[in-house]
Amino acid sequence: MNTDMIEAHELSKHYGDLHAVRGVSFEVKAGEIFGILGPNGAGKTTTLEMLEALRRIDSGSARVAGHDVSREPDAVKRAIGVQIQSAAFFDKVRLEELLSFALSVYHVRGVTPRDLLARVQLSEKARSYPEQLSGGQLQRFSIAMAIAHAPEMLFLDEPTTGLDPQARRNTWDLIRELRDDGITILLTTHYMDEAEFLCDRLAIMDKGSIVALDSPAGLVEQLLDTGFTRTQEVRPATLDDVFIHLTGKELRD
Amino acid sequence: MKHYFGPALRLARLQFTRILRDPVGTIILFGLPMVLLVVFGAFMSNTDSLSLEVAFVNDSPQELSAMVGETMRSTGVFEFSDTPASLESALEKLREGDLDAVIHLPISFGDPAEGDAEAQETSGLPGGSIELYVDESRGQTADIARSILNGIVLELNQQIVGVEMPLSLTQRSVLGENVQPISFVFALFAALGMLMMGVFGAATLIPMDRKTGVLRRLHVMPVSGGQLLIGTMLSFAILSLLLLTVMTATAVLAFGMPMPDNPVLYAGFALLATIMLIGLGFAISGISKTPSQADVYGQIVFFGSLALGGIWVPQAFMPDIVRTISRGIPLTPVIDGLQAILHGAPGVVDLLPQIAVILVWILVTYTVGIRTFRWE
Repeated sequence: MNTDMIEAHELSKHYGDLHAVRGVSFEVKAGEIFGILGPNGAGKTTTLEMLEALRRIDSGSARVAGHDVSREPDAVKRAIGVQIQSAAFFDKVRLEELLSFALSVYHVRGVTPRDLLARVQLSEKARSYPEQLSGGQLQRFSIAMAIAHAPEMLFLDEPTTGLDPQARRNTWDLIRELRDDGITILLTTHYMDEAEFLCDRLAIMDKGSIVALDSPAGLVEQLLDTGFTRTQEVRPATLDDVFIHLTGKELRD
Repeated sequence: MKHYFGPALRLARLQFTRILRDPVGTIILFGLPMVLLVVFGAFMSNTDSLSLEVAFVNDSPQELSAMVGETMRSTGVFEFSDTPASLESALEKLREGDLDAVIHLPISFGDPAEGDAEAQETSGLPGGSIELYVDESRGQTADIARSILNGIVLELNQQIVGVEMPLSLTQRSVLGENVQPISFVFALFAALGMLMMGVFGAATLIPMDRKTGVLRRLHVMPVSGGQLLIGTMLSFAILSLLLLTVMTATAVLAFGMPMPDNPVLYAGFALLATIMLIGLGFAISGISKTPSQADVYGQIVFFGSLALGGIWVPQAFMPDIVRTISRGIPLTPVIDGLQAILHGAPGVVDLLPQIAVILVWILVTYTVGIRTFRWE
């Protein structure tokens, strides 16, 4: 039985003279959280967009949830949920109305907008407009839109960028809950702590190529095997932990 | 089929809702056509209180000059200002815009020696010329004053000569006695309102959603460009027909415009016209890279349509080449068709020329709109 939810083989993408993605290959196993880590401009988002059937694949091939991305883009879109960077929604439309639209697009029955809002702790915002939400609330709502049809595979593009520590921790918890519910997750991030905390496996991209792929612990081991040593003493807590300890973990928005 | 149109209808509902919830957008799209209709409707249905403020400078001692003054008063149109000290002071007030016209009877007015010398010698009848001074920049005021004074001159001539003039002019309308002037301006402003839905509504909404990333968010879902355009078209078409209904009710109830004889034809033609004008908006949105660019293109199309559609200048006054162009622009068949229906066109056959032009424009605008549509 094939347990790979994503099979990417030699994916490439050009924007004019820019070779944004250079022959990227990897697999994402069902039920895992797979992260793509890299600096800005590394090709993370372009790789994601090719797998989401949003951008044409110049060369190479990819299968997502058993569907060929180039040949069956609609089937891919129906099987996956996508949370994009800088999520934007129709203004002057209530959250429950937007979710109702999403449910109708995917022909989902038996699930209500209120169910989805409860899942992301936004029940009290059902009649709010997206423009009235804070950054963290907007990201959670974006995830609610992405999981409206209970997708097999969820793509999250920098899901915690711009969030305060409470909102970040809360989003991490939500992502882990979704994974525990059986949804496979592919996320991009440029936060090391996020990658380490969330991801079962990580691909590190730079200049359009994957330069390393393993579990977070495995990547650290690989580095240590080269003789690398850290000069700074590792402390059992970080400043982030201090902030959360002092201000609490509960959501403020 | 149901799976295709279901999300499109949902999208139409969302778009409709967000537009109605935006007070600024609603005021712009509904306000301007309604204000124009109300202002012009009130003006056209208020002919009873037409009045021109004039200075009557009578330098003539003759009895006939007093008769001219009395006849002018009896029309109820001329309101005489305080008697000016002189013609010059009256003309100064006219130049300053304090008067609509100055009517001067020279000292020789009514003198039997005035006018055609040979005729006067034989008849002994009084003669002379009423001098009308107007500000040419206020064309309509001058036309009204001249027209009424011509009527007064004709009436006085008949009284002086004592016989009925053999020739007269009678104006009749081929459109029927029940056609009101409001029907003409109503068609202009209704078409203008529908045009605004396309070139300011649909044309700017899509580039705005593209810029803010709303379309990108939609694109990750199994929603096609066709579904988005159908949903957007339906939302603006409903708004457009809603506007037309409000405008029609206002024109009928407030300004006495007769109801269209064939309401089904009226609604059907309006729907076809609004679909075409929204398509014009899609074409603009497709060729525009930014919302501000779409706004500029929309204004060019809007003001160009006003100029060529006969709203500012009647098409009869246009040079031949401009008139030919004006017949082919999207707005002209809409105005012509609405006027024809309001003036009693009985069926579709009477509107075939207008419908044919609209169908050609639907083909052109939707082809451009669909081919140039993009999510990002």
